[in-house]
This record gives sequence, C-alpha cells and structure tokens, in this order.
Amino acid sequence: MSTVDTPNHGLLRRLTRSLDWRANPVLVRDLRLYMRGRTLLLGYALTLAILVLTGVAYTVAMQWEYGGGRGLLSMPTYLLAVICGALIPNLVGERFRGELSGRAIELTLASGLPPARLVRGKLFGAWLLSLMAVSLAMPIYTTAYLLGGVSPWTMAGLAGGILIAGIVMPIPQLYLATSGKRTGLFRLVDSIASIGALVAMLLYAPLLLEALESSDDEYRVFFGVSVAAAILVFGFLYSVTVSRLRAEAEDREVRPRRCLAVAAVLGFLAALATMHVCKIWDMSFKYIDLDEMMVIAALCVAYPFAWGIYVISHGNAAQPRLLPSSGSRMRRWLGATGSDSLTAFFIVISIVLITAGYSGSFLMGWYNDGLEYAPQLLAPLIAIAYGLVVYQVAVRRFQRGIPAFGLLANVIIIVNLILAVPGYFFLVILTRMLPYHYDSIYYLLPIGLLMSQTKDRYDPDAAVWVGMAVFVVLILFLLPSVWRAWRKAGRPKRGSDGI
Amino acid sequence: MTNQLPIVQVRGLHKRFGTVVALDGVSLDLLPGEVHGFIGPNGAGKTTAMRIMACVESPDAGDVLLDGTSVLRHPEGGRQRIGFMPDYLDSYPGVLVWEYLDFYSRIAGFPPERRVERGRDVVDFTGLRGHLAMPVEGLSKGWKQRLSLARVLLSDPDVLILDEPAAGLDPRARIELREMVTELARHGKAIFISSHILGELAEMCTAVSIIQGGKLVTSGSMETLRNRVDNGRRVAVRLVDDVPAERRRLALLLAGLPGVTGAAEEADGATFTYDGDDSFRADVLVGLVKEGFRVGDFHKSSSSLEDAFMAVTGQPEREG
Repeated sequence: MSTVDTPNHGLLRRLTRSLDWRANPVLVRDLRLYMRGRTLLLGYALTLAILVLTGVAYTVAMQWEYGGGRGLLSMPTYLLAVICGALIPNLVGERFRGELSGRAIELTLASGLPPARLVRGKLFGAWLLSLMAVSLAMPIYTTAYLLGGVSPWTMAGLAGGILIAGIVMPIPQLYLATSGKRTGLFRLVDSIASIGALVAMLLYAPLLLEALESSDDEYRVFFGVSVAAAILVFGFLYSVTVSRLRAEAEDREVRPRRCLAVAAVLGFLAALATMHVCKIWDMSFKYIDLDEMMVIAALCVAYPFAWGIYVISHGNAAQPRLLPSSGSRMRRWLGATGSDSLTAFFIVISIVLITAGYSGSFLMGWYNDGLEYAPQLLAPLIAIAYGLVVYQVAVRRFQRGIPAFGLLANVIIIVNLILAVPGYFFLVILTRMLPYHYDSIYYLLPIGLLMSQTKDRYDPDAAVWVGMAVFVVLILFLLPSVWRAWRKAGRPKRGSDGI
Repeated sequence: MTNQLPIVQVRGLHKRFGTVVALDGVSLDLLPGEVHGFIGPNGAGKTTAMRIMACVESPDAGDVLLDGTSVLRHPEGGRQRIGFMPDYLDSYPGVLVWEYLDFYSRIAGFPPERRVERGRDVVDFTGLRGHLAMPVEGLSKGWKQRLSLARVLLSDPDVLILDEPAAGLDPRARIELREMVTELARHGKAIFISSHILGELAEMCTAVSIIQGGKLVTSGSMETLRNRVDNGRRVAVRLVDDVPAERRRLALLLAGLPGVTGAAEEADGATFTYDGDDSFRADVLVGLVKEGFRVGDFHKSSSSLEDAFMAVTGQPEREG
C-alpha cells in the first residue's frame, strides 16, 4: 500500500471525510436499517414486478389507440406516485411514531441532537427511498421512449412530479406522528387538513403540465401559485414538527395558543385547498377528465381520512376516543383495538355513503344524470373504504407470521386503492347496461385484461367476472370478522370504561 | 476531596405531577471523583431527580448548576458534560450494537478519526468487542446495561448519572459493573448512582443521599451517615462456639446491660451499640468472659448501609 497520497486520493479522502462528518446521524442510522432489512429488498422486487406487469397490461390494452410507449408509461407512473406519495411517507411516519411512543427519541434528544436535525434526517431518508423507487422505473421509462409516443420532456415531467410528491408528502406524516395524546377527532381533522392541503396544492401540478403550454397566463400563474403554496405548507408543517419535538426535549407543553394558531392556519390552508380544487374544477373540462378529478378529490379527503382512522386504530394502549361522546355500542366499536371493529366501521361507512350519494342525486333532480354520475362520484370513496377494510384484515392475518405476505398484501391493496378496482366492479354490477362505463372498465382492469387478452380482441366480460369473483370472495372472507366485531361490541368488558 | 468544589450543585428542586409531589426541595452536591449513592424507597423521587439533573425533564422550581452554570437555562452545555443512563435502553428495531454506538458518537459531533478512537476505547472498557455485530434487541440484560454505559461514555462526560444500573443483573455482572464504576471515579468522573442493592452501593460509594417522599432525608459521606446512626459506638462480638443458644443468651445479656442502647444477635455472635467510652467497652468484655462466653473477637464496627437506611427512614424516635 502506498504511503504517498496522490493529489486526487487526498482530495477524495478529504471530501469523503467531510461528508461523513457532516452526515446526519439519523439519516445514516435509518439508511443502514433500510439497506440491511429484507423488507426493502422484497419491496424493491415486488414494486418492479408490479410496475412491469401493469405496464405491459396497459400497453396491450391501449396499443390500438396510442403509441406503445405511452401505454407502458402511464400505469407505472400512477403506481410510483402512490409509492412515493403515500406508501414511503406512511412507512417513515409509522416508524417515527413508534420511536416517539417507545421513548427512543427521548434519549436521542437528551444526547444533544437538535430536533430540527432529527426531523431533517427523517426527511432525507424518505427522499432517498423515493429516489430509489423512481430509479426502479428508469428501465421502463427507457423502454417506453424506445416504443415511441412519449417525449423526454414528458418523462422528465412525470418523474419530476413523482419526486416532488416524494419530497413533500413525508412531512405531514412526521407532523402527524408528533400529535401526542389528542382525541381521535382532532387527529382526523389534522390528517385531512395537512395531507389533503398538500395533495390538493401539489399533486395537481403534473396534471396542469398541459396548462403550461396554454397561451392563457392565468393557468401558468395558477400552476406557479400551486407550487408556491405547497412549499409554504411544507415549511409550516416542518416548523411545527420541530417545535413540538423541541417542547418534548424541554419537557414542556406546546402552548394552547400555539395549538389554536396551528388549527387556524391549517383551516385556512384547507379552505385555500378547497378553492383551489374549485378552480381546478372550472379548468377540468379543458385539461382534466372527470375521472381524474374524482380520484384526486378522493386523495385529498378520503385518503387522509382513511389514514387518520388507521393511525387511531393502531395507536397506543391509551387509545384516544374518536368522538368526544357517542353511543355506548359505537364507542366500544371504535375504541376496541384490532381490525374487527375497524372492519365493521368501514362497512357501515360505505353503506352510508352509497345511500347518501344516490339520495342526494335524486333530491337534486338529477335522476338520469344521477344514475350515471353518482356512482362515479362515490367510486373513489367506496374504493378507499373497501381497500382499508381488506388492508386491515390482510395485514393482520399475514404480517404476524409471514412478513413477505404482509408486504405483498400492502402493495396489492395500495394498488387496488388507486386503481379503484373494487369500486368500479361494484358500479359495473349496478350499471352493467350503460355503455358509458365500458371505457372505465378497460382503463382500470389490467389484471383482468391480462387473463382475457388476445392480440386481436379483448373481452370485457371476462375481466368483469374475474373482478366480481375477487370481490365476492373477499366479502365472504370479511363477513365473519364483521359479525364477530358486532357481537363483541354488544358484550361490554367487565371493568371497562367503555372507551 | 473534602476541599474540592462540587461539580454539580442541586438547589431546591420541586416537581409535581398533578396532585402528586415528586420532589419537595431537594438539594445536594456532587464532587469530582466521587461515587455518590442515591437511595430511597420506590416512588421516593429518585428517577425524577436524576432526569432533571440530566436535563431530560424540567422542574417546577429549583436549579441544577454544573460548575456554577445552570444546566436548566443552558441545557446544551449540560447535555455534553452530563451522561445519563436511564433504567431502560432505547432501542431502534434492527439496529446493531456498533451502529447504535456509531449513531450516538455522531450525535456527539466527533470527527471520524476521533469517533473511531473513542469508540474503540469505550468498547474495550465495557467489553463489548465480541458483541458489535449483534442486534441490540438480542442482547441479554447485562450486555444491554454495558451498551447503555458505553453510550453514555462516548461523549466523555464529566458527570455520570446512572439510574439503577445493576437492576436485573446476575452477581458476576454486578461485580463487573461495580469495578467499571470505581474505575471511572478513579479517573475523576463524578458518578451519581441509584440502586436498591444497598450492599453494592456500600462497596463503592463514598457519599450517599437518602430521599423519602420527595424530601431529602440526609446527604453526606458514608462516614457521616454511619456516625449519624450509631455515633461510632458499635461493637461486634464473635463467639468461638457456634451454638445458637449461646448467641441468644449473649444478645439478651447485652441488651440488658445499662449503657447499652441496642443489641442484636448475628450469625456468629452479636452486635451492640452503647453510650460510653473505651473503659465501658472494656468492662463489657470482662463481664462477658466472667459469664462464661468464649469470645473470639471483640471490635468496634460500623453500621451497614442497610442499618443506616432503616435508621434514617424508620421511626422518628430512633433518631438522636
């Protein structure tokens, strides 16, 4: 070994040493864990497999209308957006929540690590995971370009949008993890406001890329305002998260006036997001399809709502109540840990939503249109609710003993959520004869298409039957859980306070 | 040592959790190189006091001074010089031992070379070298305590606060921990240690504070505490013959002597405390021999820490 450092080696050595010294301790620790565990490798492999599978299926389905490249690119892009915008941030948030509740953070802060540096370490880790996920898609993107039909700028825009989602979405998860002991209702509202505001302001941006090409300055300004607002929300949530951790480190309560200020600002941002959505609604007929609008509306409200429910049901032993007061049986339902009560809760919510949706349409005198549009309005909500139900049962069943199955179940359920497959199966059952929905079915049934597709023609009936069979089997699987939950809720535990 | 200035001064700590008074005006001093035991019944306020001193919690009133500077007003400086070992080990699922230590050494802000050197020293001192590649959750209780101590030592603090470090350890592990603590004190570190194993503390402590119901009952050197219990007037009598009846007779006889304030049967004889001088002690010895006791040993002894603890936290009439 030479004892003389060449100039290049010396510079590299100094650079490496400098980076090592400045590396965030939390980032280094978390990355080592991610790299070593089976979960990341398995998730990597499964994600790649699903990206390829759906990409090929969609390409086969759409090749007669568009260039093959566009077909190969669309579905994996949606999936990556879910992975980077939801799955990875949720995993990071869950891990952080566990560290906070297990007192692991207490000693870390007592050792002198500034709270801001801790939060930045968590964020950097999530960003690097998103970058790795996007890198998975690069072979697919390259193949799509070779097949034709897409431009490099479109691909760069899509990848950039996914990365932006991966950068922005972890912060509300870290913010929600520092909620501490608050009621379930507070957490739900907090979840919808923080996640929903970011989704509304930022995830529309890729869909507004077409607006940038418009000669109308209003749309370009609106695009810029969206990005700026998202950065503002990000900064606000980051500062509140650090402030809460600092209060934890200094062993003091976050002051009530500050809580009210947080609630007021979040409420303002939620109102801004709503106006934003309405503005998008005006533009939707020009640039965005109604289907896409509904899915994104579901992401802004239903997804954070469902995630808030999940966080509450997986909370600590000191389970916060969902509502300040409620009927005794419902309270026992909501208060019990485990998947059964949550399953029952979502079944009830789904039935209520379906009934309310149709009733509302009739009342507004849109009988004919209501039959056509109401199911579509409800589809994302039904899909989210259904997906969470299956998620709860599948994760509980499989993850206990076989982590790989649990991860597979997680990925499949998330995919189902965004594709709204179950919701549209349900709609197909109800509106089988309406030709309008045929396109929607083909748009969202890659697995069914794979089973029935030939080179020359496609068979939508086969796809529908496959979906219906899956739906029925899962419902039969869930019904015993629902029945057990209802019976258990009817028998209060001795000595229980009913919460 | 008595001429040294205290490195840590705790002044009038008050802490309340709801209606429960955890600390009620606790004040004590910690000297460099001292092993200061902190004893009290369960719920007395030991852990609360230690967490406040380690800047993990804040008091309702009072202050903690480190070389004259308040660590409560300037916690950053306090956290660098005070190492806190709680009664639990924070663990991140899946983390290996060396990763755990590397994490905390990075928090301490050492440059890479210093980090490696310091890590090596700490690992060698605590004997963790053979366990570096193990996950933290897989360690036994004893090794977790060593790892927790290693974490604390990484930043080379001047003050170590150890909350029941020997709890749950087997005898060998306790002995090894005691040796490590003694060695650290020899290197000039001030050590503040709590434990329910009074015999262990008696072996290594040079000072003791006893807390009860949130109030500090006594604080000072071991000698001061023992003198407070028996004023230095305590004698141990060992009999040659191991006959239980003889031991009982001895204890009863001693208890009945005027001038003897207390007597107790022991495994090999008896002990007694007395009011008087050396001549009184000599008279007692003569008297025992006349009564036919075969006395093998007759010497002044000190109260054990258990005796002192029971005396100080016991009935009010036993004091003074």
